[in-house]
Parts: sequence; structure tokens; C-alpha cells
Amino acid sequence: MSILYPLMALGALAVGVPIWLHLRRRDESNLVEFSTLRFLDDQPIAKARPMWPQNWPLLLLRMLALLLLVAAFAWPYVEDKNTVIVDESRVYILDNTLSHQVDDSFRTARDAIATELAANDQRTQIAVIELATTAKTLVRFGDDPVVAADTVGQLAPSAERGNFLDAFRSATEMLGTSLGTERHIILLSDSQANQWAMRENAPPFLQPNIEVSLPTSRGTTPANLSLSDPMARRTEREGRPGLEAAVTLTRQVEFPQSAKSQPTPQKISVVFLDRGREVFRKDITLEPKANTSIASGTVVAEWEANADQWVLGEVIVETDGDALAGDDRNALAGDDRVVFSLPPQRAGRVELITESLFLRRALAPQVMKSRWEVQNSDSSVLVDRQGEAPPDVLCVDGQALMSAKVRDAVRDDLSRGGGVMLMVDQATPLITGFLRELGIEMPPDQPTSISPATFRYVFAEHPVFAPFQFAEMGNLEEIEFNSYRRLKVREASPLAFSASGDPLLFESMLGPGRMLVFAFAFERQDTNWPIHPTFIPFLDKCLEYLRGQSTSVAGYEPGESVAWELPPGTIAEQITVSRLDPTTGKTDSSETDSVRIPVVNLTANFLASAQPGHYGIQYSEGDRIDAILDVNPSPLESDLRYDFAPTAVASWTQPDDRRSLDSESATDAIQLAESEALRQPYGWYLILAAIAAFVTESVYGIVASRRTNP
Amino acid sequence: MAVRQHERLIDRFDPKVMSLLLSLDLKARYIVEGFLHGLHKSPFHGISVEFSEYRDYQPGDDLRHLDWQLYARSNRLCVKKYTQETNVRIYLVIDTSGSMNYRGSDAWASKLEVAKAVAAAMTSLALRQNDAVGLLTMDELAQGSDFIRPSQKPSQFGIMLGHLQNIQPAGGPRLAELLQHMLRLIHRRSVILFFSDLLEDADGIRESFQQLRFLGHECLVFQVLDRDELEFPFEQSSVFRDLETQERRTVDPNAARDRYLKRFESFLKEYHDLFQSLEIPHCVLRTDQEPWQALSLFLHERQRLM
Repeated sequence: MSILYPLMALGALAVGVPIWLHLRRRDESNLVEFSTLRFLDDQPIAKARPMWPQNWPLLLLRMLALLLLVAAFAWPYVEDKNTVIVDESRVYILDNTLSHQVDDSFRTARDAIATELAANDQRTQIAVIELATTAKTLVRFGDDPVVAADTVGQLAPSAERGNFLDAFRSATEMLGTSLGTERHIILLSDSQANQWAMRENAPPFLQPNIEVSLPTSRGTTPANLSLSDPMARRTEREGRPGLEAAVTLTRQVEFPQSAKSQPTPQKISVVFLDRGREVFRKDITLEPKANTSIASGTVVAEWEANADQWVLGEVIVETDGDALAGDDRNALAGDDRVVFSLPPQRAGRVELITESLFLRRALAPQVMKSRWEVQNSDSSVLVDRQGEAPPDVLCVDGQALMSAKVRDAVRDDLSRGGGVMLMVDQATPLITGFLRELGIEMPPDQPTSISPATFRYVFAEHPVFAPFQFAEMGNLEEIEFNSYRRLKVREASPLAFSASGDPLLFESMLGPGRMLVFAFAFERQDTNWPIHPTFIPFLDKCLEYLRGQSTSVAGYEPGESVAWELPPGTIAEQITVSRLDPTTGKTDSSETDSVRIPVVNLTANFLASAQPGHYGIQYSEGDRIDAILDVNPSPLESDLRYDFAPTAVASWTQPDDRRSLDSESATDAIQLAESEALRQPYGWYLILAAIAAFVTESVYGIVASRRTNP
Repeated sequence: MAVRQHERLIDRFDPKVMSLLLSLDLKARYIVEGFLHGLHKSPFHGISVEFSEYRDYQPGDDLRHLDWQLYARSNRLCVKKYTQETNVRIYLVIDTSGSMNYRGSDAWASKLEVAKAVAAAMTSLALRQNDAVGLLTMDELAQGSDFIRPSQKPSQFGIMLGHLQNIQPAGGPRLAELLQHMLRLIHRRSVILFFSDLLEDADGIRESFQQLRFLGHECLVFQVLDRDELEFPFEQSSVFRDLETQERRTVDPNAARDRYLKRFESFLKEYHDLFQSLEIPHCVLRTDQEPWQALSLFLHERQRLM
């Protein structure tokens, strides 16, 4: 260190300032500044040395305070017999995603860290970050080594998926407050290629003096079997309820293939279970084509299923030799299986009060059998709302609103949480007034005719439109509108607009019930929709939504964030999420992963469990299961291709623009010590003593000043 | 009658009020209004703007001066021309040496602040009489002079105030240098008002004052002094430090007072004799007393010049 080193100059300044202040602020109470001394030139010249300290106790107090402050800030750097020089700060990133369980790599890495923590001589600071859905800090610098080793040693493998970026950012942040002159990030991972691809284009954050150690190449890509998320739907065959489920099986062989590991025909058994009972089994053989390493096939299963109870399905693969058992739920993997569920099926009740033949046809029993039970009513005779079977959805057109009974029925259904589907086909003062009550204005100057219009903007994420994002459900852009009513929204949200910007479909927000308002009638003079293939699927989706079922997706990945929306009209302050036994269909209240989640605005936010399986959601106390959550590992974790020379680390690293390595490292060492310095109790005691010394000095100065100038 | 009027003026003047007035503008107004309130005869009597002649209206002339009555009578568009009755050029010269920064315990301001306030008041009075007023000081920081050309525009008062407020005391004796500088700048016959404590050798400035008088300039000297300088009331033995030279001397006031007063009286007499010989009115302006005497002297000399 040179005398020109900035910290040395700062130190000299810190020593000199109090002395300069003391000399400059000497007690000059006996000094008279006079306009001229030309008439006093016979008086003796003042002999006192102007810069000589006049108040030694004051100076000594100031020097003492300064010394205490210097000692306080230097305390963390004072070496004694207990002082340990930290040579290196090291952060381990332990990959605890599913793919790292290949060849038991996770357990091997975990045990190695635990052993090193237990044997650490404190010359190396060690911290550990667990990489799962989020980067979690398991061990911090300065944690007790025995406790830290125990914490790491007990870490269980998870089926979650996470990305390296969060872990590297956390590690960089930890190293920013470390003591070691050398800083090191060691990644213990399988270096899965698709994990590196996630958010590779992040701005640079890695400091250039941090050394990063990546896993070494394993030579070959291991063989693996994996299952996709199953798809299931209820069916009816010959009057009996059934269930159809499909799953895709992917086989990846070792690549590049060695002479000893030529892929051999492999018998794979795919087993479907429903409530723990084997309902379907099929043996297949998957062989990759020449020059490829991956082969896949789909297995479709059918079986009879009770429509009145939940389907709790599982798919298991039985085969020999698989690198990653967790993703195909090999029998050896215990309870981890690909799971799926379907709620009990109960035909919804629809009361239809409309003159539209198309609606009557679409909701006829031969079309909607086992899905919707339709009651065609007259405006004067309606279904008894107080009876045992009030309709789930009231489907009504504008003409019917002329009846007071129908208007009362609309209000009743909305207030009790039912659904209403309203087609505005004409404008009369009575209808206009009722729509105003529902928050929709119908201006009197309605156009007599319009040029054919199509959908321009659609709320594609809404449950009634979301299925139509896939081509197999049909193309909504082919629908044309020849006539519709221009409506203005006051307390409703539009879901679809025409090309001219007029809203065509609203969702009213009036009561606990749901209401969809169409600005047209399902008649040929208004639109061609009734003869379009999307009509009946759309109608079905609308009725399902209006029926009040939860719109939340039931399938999640381990650790994924869940925003669970409760059905409208549900009264619940909290929900209970518990692991479900697929054999009995009941939750185990003694399970440790049973959690209670508060409900805010009919939504409960929580994280899906780290372990795959069925999870029951209960809206109230008791044994009743209101919904089931299916947690399956991410299919990306099954893609066992690796990248041992990722470009991401280079792109994350900041450019090395240090002018002087020595001074920079020394400055870094000082900066790194700041957090440690704040933890030094003696430092704080010394700072307090310095403050006390300054206070004493001030009091002394005041008293001395009063003595001089009473 | 004159004695009674003087007593009333003194009664009205309150050094505490003056010390509380931070703005130079307010100080000047306080001095001028207080001074005028005590006079029975307006000093502005007889001073007016007189009509001179007509000339033909030219496009662009100020329409305020167009004579509508003449136009109605003769169908001629003419503008009136005026001549001002007086046009005296007055220069304010302020000494900004370090000794002017002295302020005694009884003073309502430092010597320089008193000089600035009285100069501002005189500027106000002069501008009311349509005199042209200018300013000359030595600016220590800029290593040069601060010179404002004389003008009789109403806006001149604001300009003068702005410059006066920015004057800061610094440096050693420089009155001789200031006088030489003035000789080079002023060519037309003018009235020059000096504000200085004159705490420097009279021999050094004698020649400059002689030259000013030779060139026909009328000079008035306002010697700004503090009570401490005039009476040396100190009691406790102290270290005295010179504001200009930073020289330090240990002074026992009781022992040194008589000799100091004797030498100071001699110093005043020397200047008094000098100004008397040059017919230059000289007035001591005390920082602990009202400044009416200086203003009276100023108005008296101006009326004499008319």
C-alpha cells in the first residue's frame, strides 16, 4: 500500500481534520478586530503563537474521540489469536430439479456439500443455494457448520423445475457481502440444456472477479422414458358412463450410442389406474428410427367410470432400465405418478325462454344428453325457484323480458348465484329500462341495418373463448353479424367487439351470479353463427361458465404459483389444500403438507406442493372435496439433453474494466467487509464511547466558554 | 427653531430600527422619508420640466407628446419638446477597504453599510431632482473598479441599489488609487460625493483632491467613523487585530487611550485642514447617530451649485 493510496489519504484527512478544527476554532474571546492600528503602533506586538493549542483538555478529548472512532471502524480488521483469515468465499448452487436425479446425481452432490461443510476450517466461507422453482438460500456465510451440514444433508429431492438465472443472481448477491478475496460460484447440476435457455438474455450481473465452475460433461445423453400430462374426458357408450384418457410416452435412448449400449427392443407396459384400481394396461414397444434418439407413442385407454364421483386417475410405466424414474412414475418411484382427475358429472339444468329455433335445437336432449337437461318454458309459467331443482342457467331473449315474471326470475337467479344468458333482440322502453337496471344502456337511435360485421377483438383468455384459441374448436373469425343492437356498458365488461368497435357480448358484474348479455339474437337475420360449427361448443362453454363452476385450471407443476378462483356464490374465508389418497379419495388431515389458504375476492393464492400427486381442495370444514388439484412434473424436466459449455454465463458476466487489479481487490475486500463490520459488537461499543467523548467535549467547551465570557 | 427641528429629527431616528432593516432600499427610504418629514420647505421647489419648442410629428414619435389641442386648432400634427431645468452629474465614490467593515457595539451598522445606506438615500434624493447619479467603487474580487455611468432615468435607482448591495469590504488602503482612477474616468464637471473613513495618510491623497478641484469638480467628503474610533471606550486588555493588515498588537486600553485620542484628533485635524484649504465640505458621519447632517450638507451644496 502506497502513501498515495486513496484510503491512506482519507485516513490522514481524518486525523488532521479534528486538529485543524481545534486550532482554527480556538478561543478568541479576547481578540478585538479593530479598523486600524495606525494610532496604536506604539503598543507591543502580540506574542501569542496563533496556531498553538490553547485548551489541551479539549484537544485531548477530541483526539480520544477520533481514536475511538478509528478503533471502532478498524476493529473488524484487527487480528488476534481467534482471527481467521478468509481466503475464499464459495457459493454452491445445488440443483434440486427433477432432472438432476438421474443416476442419483442430486444425492451425491448433496452429500458432498454436507461433508465439506462439516469439515470446513473456516478459511473458506461456504454458502449453499438450493435451485428449485425458486432459488432458496439453505446456508449463509457465517452459519454454524454443524447445523449447515445437517440442513443440507436432510434436503429431500424435489420434482420442481427452476432456472439457473435466479440462482446465479442470488449467489452474486451473497458474494457481494462476503469476506474472501477469492470468490467462487460452483454449480452442482446436470446442466440441462433447456434450463440454460431460460432467460439467457438477461443483462450482465456477474462480477468479472467471480470464478464460475460448471459441471463437466458426462459423455452421453442417458436413456429415459417419460410421460406427458394425460388428457381425459367423460364419455357415454351404449348408455353407460365411461372415461377416455390418453397419454403420450416418449423414449430417449442413450446418445451417442456406444457399442455396449445398443438400444434393444424394450417392452413397456403402460398401466392406467382409477382410484387405485387397474383399469387398463397396454404393452408397447418404442424404437427410435435410424439416426434419431427419441421415439414417442400415444396410448388411449377407455373404461367405465361412475359419473357421480371424482375420477382419480394415475398412469404408470413399467419397464426395465430408466435413467429418470421420477418423470414416468416407475413403480420404484413410490407414490410419484402422472395423475389426472375429473369432477363428478351432473347434467346442468337450463331453463330456456326463447323463440329461437336454433337455440332450442342446439339444446335439445339428443344433442345435450347427459350434459344439459333443458326445460323449455313459457313466459307465463316458469320453473319454481323455491323448489328442489331450480335451473342452473336461465336462457332468455329480449322478447321474454316483457313479462314481469321473467324479469323477476332474472333478478332472483342472479341474486342466488345462478347464471343468466340474455339475448337482446329488440329495443322497447320496458327492455331498455330493465337493461339500464342491469348496468347496460341501449341508446334510442339504433341503426336499422348494418353492413356485415365480424369479430374484431375477443377477450381470448375468458373461459368462454379460451378453448377457441386452438384450431380444432373452429374459427370464430368466420362468423358474420348482419344486425345487432348498440349497447353501452355501465357496470359490465365487454368480452367481444365487432370490427366497427361495437361491443357484441358483455359479462355483467351485478350480483354473485354470472350473466352474459348478447347484443344480437341467435337468428339467421342477425348472424350466421347458429349454422357455424363453433355454435354448439360455444353454447356449451357459455352454459358451463354461467353454471358457476370454477374456471381455474386443475393441472400444475410442483412449486408453481396457483391463483385458485372459487365458484361464484361460494362463502369461504379460507380453503384447505391437502394431499389426497387416490385409493380412498379422501384427504389425510394428519398430512404435514395440508395447508389453509385465506380467500380474498373469491381467490386463494398459494404454491403448489413440491411433490406430485392429487391434492384435494376443501372450501369448508368436513370431508367433502370441492376440487382436486393435479400436480405433475414439468415435461421439460424429461428432456435429458445437456449443455456443458453454456453461453449464458458469458453473457451474464460484466465486462472486466478494472484499472488496477491490486487496488480493486483491496477495495473489494473493504467493501465486502461492511456487513461483517456492522455485526461487530465491540465496534458499536467504541462508536458509542466516541459519541460520549464528543458530548463531553461539547459540554466542556460550553462550560469553558461561559467561564471566559460570563 | 432650527434647534427644535433638529431635536425632533433625532427623536424620530431609531438605530435599532435601522439595524433591523435588512434591505438597502428600505434603509434608504427610512432615511429619506424621515429627513423630508422634518423639513418645512420642500427641497424640490422650483425644479420642473419646462416646455421648449414644437416640432413636426414623425411616425414613431411617442404619441403621449402629440399636442391634440394644436391639432384641433391648426390641423398640424406636432410633438412637444421639453428641456429639464437641471442636470447636475453626481458621482458617489465609496471606499471599500477592510477598515470600513468595522462595526462598534453602539453602531446601527458597519461603516460600509452606513455609507451604502446614506449613498442610496442621496441617490433617491438626487433622482427626484432629475440629477444624473453614477457610482464608482473598487472591487477587490474583480481586481478593478465598479463604475456606473450617471443617469437620471428612474430605473437608475434600482441599478444603483443592485450595485450598492453587492459591495463587500476587503483589502487595504486604496483611496488614493480610487481617486486616480476617478481622475481618468470623469471629464465633465461633476459633483463627487466621497464616503470613506480616510484611515490612510493624507499626503497620499492630497494631490488627487487638488487635481479634482483644479478640474472644476465639486467634492463633498463624508468621513464615516465609529464611536469606538472616536472615543476608544475599551477597558479590557486585549489583542487588537487590524482589519486591513491583520497586524496584531497587545493593547492595554486604559494606558493607551489618551495617546490614541490625541493622535486620532491630530489625524482628523489634518484632514480638516486639507479639505478647508481645498474648499471641500467635510462631514463626519457617525455610525451610531442619525445621518441627517450628511443629507443636509448634500442638499445645501446642491442648492448652492444651482
